Amino acid sequence: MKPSLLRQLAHAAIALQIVLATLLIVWGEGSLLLFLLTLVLLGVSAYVTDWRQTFHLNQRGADLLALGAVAISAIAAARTDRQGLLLVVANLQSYLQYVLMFQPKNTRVYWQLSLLSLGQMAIASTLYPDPAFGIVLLLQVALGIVAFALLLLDSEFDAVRQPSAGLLSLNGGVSESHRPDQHSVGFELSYLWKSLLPLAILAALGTLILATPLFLALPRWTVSTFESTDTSPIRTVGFTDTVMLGELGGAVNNPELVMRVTFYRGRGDSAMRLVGEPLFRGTVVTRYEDRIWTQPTPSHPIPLPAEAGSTITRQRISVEPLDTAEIFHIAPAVTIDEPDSKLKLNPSTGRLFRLDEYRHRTLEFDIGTTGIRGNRQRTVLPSLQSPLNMQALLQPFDERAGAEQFPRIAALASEILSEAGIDPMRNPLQAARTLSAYFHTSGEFFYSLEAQQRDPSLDPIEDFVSENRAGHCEYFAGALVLMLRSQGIPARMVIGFKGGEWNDVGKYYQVQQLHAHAWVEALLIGNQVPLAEFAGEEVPQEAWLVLDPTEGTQDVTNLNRGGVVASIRQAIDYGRVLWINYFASLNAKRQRQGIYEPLAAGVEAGAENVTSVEVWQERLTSLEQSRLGRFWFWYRRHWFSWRGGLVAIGFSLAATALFLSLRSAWKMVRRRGWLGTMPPAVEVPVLEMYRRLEAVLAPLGLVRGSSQTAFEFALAAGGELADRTEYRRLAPLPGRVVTAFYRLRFGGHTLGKPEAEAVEQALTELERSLDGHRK
Amino acid sequence: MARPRQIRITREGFYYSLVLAAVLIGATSRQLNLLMLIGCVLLGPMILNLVYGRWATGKLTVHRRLPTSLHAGERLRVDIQLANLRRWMGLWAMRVEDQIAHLSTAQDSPARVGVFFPYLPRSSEKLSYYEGTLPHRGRYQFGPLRVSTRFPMGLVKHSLVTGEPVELLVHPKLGRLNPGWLKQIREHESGSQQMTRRGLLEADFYGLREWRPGDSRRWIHWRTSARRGSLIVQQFEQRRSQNLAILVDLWQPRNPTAKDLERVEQAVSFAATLLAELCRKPGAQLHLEVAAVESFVNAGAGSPVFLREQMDALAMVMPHERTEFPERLGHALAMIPAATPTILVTTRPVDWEALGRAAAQRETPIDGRTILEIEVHDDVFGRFYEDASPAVV
Repeated sequence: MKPSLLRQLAHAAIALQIVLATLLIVWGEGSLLLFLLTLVLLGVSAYVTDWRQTFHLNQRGADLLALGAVAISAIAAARTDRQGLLLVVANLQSYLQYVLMFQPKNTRVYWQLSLLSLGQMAIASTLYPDPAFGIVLLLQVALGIVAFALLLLDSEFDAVRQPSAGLLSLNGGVSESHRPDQHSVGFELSYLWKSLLPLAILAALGTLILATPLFLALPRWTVSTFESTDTSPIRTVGFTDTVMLGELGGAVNNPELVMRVTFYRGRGDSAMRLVGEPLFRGTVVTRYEDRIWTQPTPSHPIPLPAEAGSTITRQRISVEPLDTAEIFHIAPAVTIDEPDSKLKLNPSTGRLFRLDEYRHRTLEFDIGTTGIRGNRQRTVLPSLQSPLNMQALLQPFDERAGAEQFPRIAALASEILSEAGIDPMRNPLQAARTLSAYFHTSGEFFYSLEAQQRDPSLDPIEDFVSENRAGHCEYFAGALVLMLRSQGIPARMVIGFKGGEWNDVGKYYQVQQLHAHAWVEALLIGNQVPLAEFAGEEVPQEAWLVLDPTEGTQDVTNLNRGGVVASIRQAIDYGRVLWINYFASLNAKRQRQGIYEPLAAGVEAGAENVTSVEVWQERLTSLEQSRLGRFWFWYRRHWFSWRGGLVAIGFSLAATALFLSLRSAWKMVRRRGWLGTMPPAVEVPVLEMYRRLEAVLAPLGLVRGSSQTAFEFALAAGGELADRTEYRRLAPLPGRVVTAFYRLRFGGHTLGKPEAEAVEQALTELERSLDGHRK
Repeated sequence: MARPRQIRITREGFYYSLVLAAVLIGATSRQLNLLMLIGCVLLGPMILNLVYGRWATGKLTVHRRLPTSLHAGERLRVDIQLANLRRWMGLWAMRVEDQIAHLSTAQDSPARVGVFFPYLPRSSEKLSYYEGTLPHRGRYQFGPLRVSTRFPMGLVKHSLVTGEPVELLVHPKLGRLNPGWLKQIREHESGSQQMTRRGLLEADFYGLREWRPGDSRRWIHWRTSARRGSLIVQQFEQRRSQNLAILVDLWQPRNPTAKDLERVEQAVSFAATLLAELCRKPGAQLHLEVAAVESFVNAGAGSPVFLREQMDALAMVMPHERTEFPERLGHALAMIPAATPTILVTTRPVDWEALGRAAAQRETPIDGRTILEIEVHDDVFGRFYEDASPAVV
């Protein structure tokens, strides 16, 4: 027997559950094989086992196959690591599903299939911590509700279709239970999508509304930051720890996400946006030789220092798995509460990095910085290490050979400063700013990501400043560093990211590979350090002046890249952030700060709002001052007046009239069934009803005689039917129909819906039972 | 006393709860966020099941319609009408379960039978029914009705017990009298029958009907004709004398076998069939005397009302276990006019001596009376009476 339509639909819903769960596993696993195999076996089993019913596994065969699957998985599990073990279990669940697919289906088998999908979802939760997981989970719920509701309907139909053995065995009282077919109880398949599907969607939404607060409220006691499992790291194409000129190309247009950064003032929770584009420091390069900038010898790494005196800005950095260890940040970085054991700082370069074992994971850090004042990034920063290696910061101009090696750079720098009348030895701050500004104001330099033709006989930077003045940020930064050094000002190139896309929905910066950047820091020593930059702070002996000579880079964060698409993109990204923060990586600290404390504060404020005398006094005062209040006080002073009385009476009459009108309108609407809430008036075609009866009885030779009334005919027909064993049960029906016919035709009555249905049921029963005779 | 509302976790619900608890406990103890989320999401369907069932059974009415009369073995049809009083949402997968108990035999647990309403749109009502046969006479109790739903996922079953139990008196099974039997009856009647021909005006008024060609003008009921605007004539019930006395000795041994019980039922069915046959032709004076645990006697003109009363009495009659032949049957003979043919239905051989003695006590000898003895265990009985089995379609 073919499965019923309800069962087929339920089967389809559960098949979809299996596909979705497998898809998530495959997504995490990175192999399509399991998914394709599942699809094929779903199709084959649906055809041969469920539809054609030409093959199915018996219980013993299924048990053997399941044992085989477990054995294979056990062998695979012995050869793999923890993450591999999860995949082995996920695959085992798929294998067991394959076995179940080829078994004859009943509700128990469908439950097993569905629960195995749920198990796969559980494993996918560790492999695929993405918002798509939440969406798939909700879909799974909706599909589960639809599938098992359909199975329930089908099994209930089956239950009433079968004669109840219990009835026979108990007392032989009722020998048969009978249920009419689906149409006679008014079941239409359209109810499935008109009512069941919306209900399932409603249920899924209800589940979402219920599950979210419950999930957020469940106690957490871990305080660790979010750590995903190891995944393939993103190769940073814009950022490198050494800079080889001429190698940068179109790769920097890569929109791949590097990190998200949110700034908070102090320990507050209010996110802020900086004026201008923030510069996120990665590392520094100092030595330039043979077209390559390299890092200085690193000093011993230290934990993040604490900073108590300054106003700290908190930066929450959520960094993706990368192939480099740098944590890009606003320098200088300080610790907020406790030093994070996963982070180290190299004081000589200002390089902040995570330990190697955390490099390939999504991590989130809360660190502080003193590099922001107000909502603006500072341009003069204290040096973290003293004394500094001056020789390295002046290379190659620490020797005479430098000027010979880069004569055009040195000449250009000297020319610019002499034209400006600035002595770099006496006023290095002004000299540095003038040299940096030259790249912007001269109009001779152009920013370009295209590979440029360079004179091979010249150093690329020499060529950049003298011949082909187009290049990307590394040329600009490199040229400025060498120009500064040629004038005796120690300088270094900083590599990191600049700007990022400001997400106005989530109030954070979204930094992508294409935001990679290089800029310059010039060293100011002793009295060269501008005091105004350290107002209210201890003035350092050495400070770095931040300079960004790159022409053509403007404050893209302030540009309106808007439009609906951008807003949607930002909203999606923010949704991803919320998912990570409040679902995938919710920990005790975030739960306390983000949920419990605001909730407690809200409750407290609400209670205060309700119970505080002062608040009520304020409200009363504002009410008094409102129009209503003024009317009330006028009314209290004039509590009896003809005018007031008339107004009151008029108002009462109008209200009563309005009420009565609305009530009559409502009754009319209901009576006419415009809202569909009242059953439509039963209009039974009177003669038609009786003619149907005559038509159905005629083939049996039961025809009304000319001397018979309708009632006599019905009685006679009933008697005839009673005398025939096979039609005995139909005997009362003609009488029932004619009684209703008399009531309508001669009694002036109307039939209520139940009576009309009973008549219709009687006629249908007669027609169905006597159908053989009619044919 | 059943509680009006019940919530029961089904087997699926039990296993679902186990899985749910395992996921939630495991996830919370290991602090696995997304597994916690799965646990919380799994709570949704469980709560939906709990809420929906309570909501669905909250505003509905259910009615049962029983036949006004029923004989054992006849097909029973019970209409169940369910109305959804909710204005905004339909109800899914509602099952209405009825329970039927045979009070006369005091069964331990009643039989259960259900009808299923897959969907009931908002503000609507639907009719469904169940059918079957009740093979025993006596008093049956129907209900109370139990409305239940396991929708949507079958995790929880909500039940609402509604309405008071109602009783249905099932009359004895009717058999079929063979033509040979009727002939014998007439032969016995021939000596005593005194057909009374009466004028139509002397007959009992029966009802009204439309005028047909050939009807006498005297039958026209002028007042009704004037009111309806068409000719209406009176119908009369013709009386015809077909007097008969039926005496039943409903005996069974102290430890009855199945055969003994069957004999008792056959005797009751036979008496009922005989009465039904005789009452189809109104006018006969009938006398029924039954010796049983609670013996009774009824006499009157055969009519639907009389028949109904006898059927009610026969439906509840219980056999006696006294070994001596009941004296009251002999006494009854004394009360019955000698010309009235008498049928004595027994489940054992008739003790004519005892019967004669009892009649003689009332100074009415039985000699010369027309008494037809019917012993239901006798093979001859089958020649006259056919036990109609219920038709199962």
